[in-house]
Amino acid sequence: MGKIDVKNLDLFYDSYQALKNINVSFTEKQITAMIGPSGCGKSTLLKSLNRMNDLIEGCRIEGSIQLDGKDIYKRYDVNDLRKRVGMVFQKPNPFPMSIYDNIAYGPRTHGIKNKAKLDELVERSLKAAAIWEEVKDRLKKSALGLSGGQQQRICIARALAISPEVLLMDEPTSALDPISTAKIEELVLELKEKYTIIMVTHNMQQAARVSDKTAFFLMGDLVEFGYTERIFANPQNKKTEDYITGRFG
Amino acid sequence: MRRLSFDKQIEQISVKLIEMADLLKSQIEGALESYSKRDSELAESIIEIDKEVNDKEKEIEQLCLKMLLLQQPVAHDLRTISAALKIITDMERIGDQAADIAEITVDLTDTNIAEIDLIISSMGKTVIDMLEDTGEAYKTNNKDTAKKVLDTDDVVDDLFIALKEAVTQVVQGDKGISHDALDYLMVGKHLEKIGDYTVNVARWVMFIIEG
Repeated sequence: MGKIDVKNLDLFYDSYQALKNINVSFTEKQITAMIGPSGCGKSTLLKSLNRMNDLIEGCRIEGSIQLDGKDIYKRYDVNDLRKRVGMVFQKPNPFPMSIYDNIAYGPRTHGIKNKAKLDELVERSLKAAAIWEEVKDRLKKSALGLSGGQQQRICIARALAISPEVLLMDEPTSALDPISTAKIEELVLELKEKYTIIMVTHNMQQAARVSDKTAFFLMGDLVEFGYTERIFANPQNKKTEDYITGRFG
Repeated sequence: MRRLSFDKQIEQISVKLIEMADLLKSQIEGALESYSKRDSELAESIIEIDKEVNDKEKEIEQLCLKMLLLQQPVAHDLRTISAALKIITDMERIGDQAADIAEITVDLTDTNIAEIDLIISSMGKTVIDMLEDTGEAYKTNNKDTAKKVLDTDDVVDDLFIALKEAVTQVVQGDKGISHDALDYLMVGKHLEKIGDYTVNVARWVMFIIEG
């Protein structure tokens, strides 16, 4: 059993089927990369893992997604789910408030009011997101004044502040320069010691560099899933080979 | 969708590798001919060919490194390029061995010993067959042909053992020939090494095909 097990998952947007009979298991404390062309369903699956698709009208799912063996779509408290399964988006989206308040926002909504405890949590989260040294002297300044790469690490720190078990990342570096990208990748590799990470990326080299396993999606199907080294050295499916070598289409 | 310029570069690697293999084949054939005819002039020209082989190695190496840098290949493309880098090293060594045979020939006396010449000729023919089969396996993506090369190497090894015995007998019968006899043995050793390097190349061809 994985940390998250997806079983016979079909997902529809009204009559359009975006995911077709997906079966995949995300192993605990591993990084799984999800790759595939635009519209293949990888982001849809990612969003399903913490029920972000609940907000989309006409979205319907069949099959199951289990977190530690418990179906997240059956009598599961969504707030609890999103506390356990955090998300980092493609574009850094810090709240228009101070760096400190960005990180403290989640814990406060979960009832933590004690200043000393919040201070400790903010520092721990910023350290875990490898940005503490850069912002420790300006915690009360707006997070919007930071660079794109710093903002993204603030968003990761914000996600870590509520102590999730799983981190979902939707193209977390696509809007960043190479140096910020390298920092996030290093960070992700460190974070996997404590968290299960599932990352959507369009960057093949990134998938190859950071992930333990890779899942290749095409038109709603999971075409191939396996250890990243094998997928990139010797894919078993011709569609995977064509996609990762840039010959798809 | 095809990646036209990229595919063209991959194709270029294949063409150049086959050209290098053809060059080696003529180099080995020439070295063996110079040996059997004790033709110093031919031997000198064979030593010269080694420079062409070395240039070809550098040319392919540059092309592969450029592709690794600019294209960041994966899967079959990566196997083709990384294997090419290994193959050219082994092929360059094959060229060195052939040149060494030619160098020995320059100093050999005109004494021919039929039994020894026969073994050396068989070894030469076998390694050339191995080289041809390796090229064929590469061109046609045929792993069975590549595997055949691995098996054939045993024939070369057996012939080398036979050569050692023959040389020993010749030296025991006529001590005066011991200097040449050592050279015969060296020629055999170079051919045996050519067999080994060809096996390495065949293994890389299998890697390209199977991963």
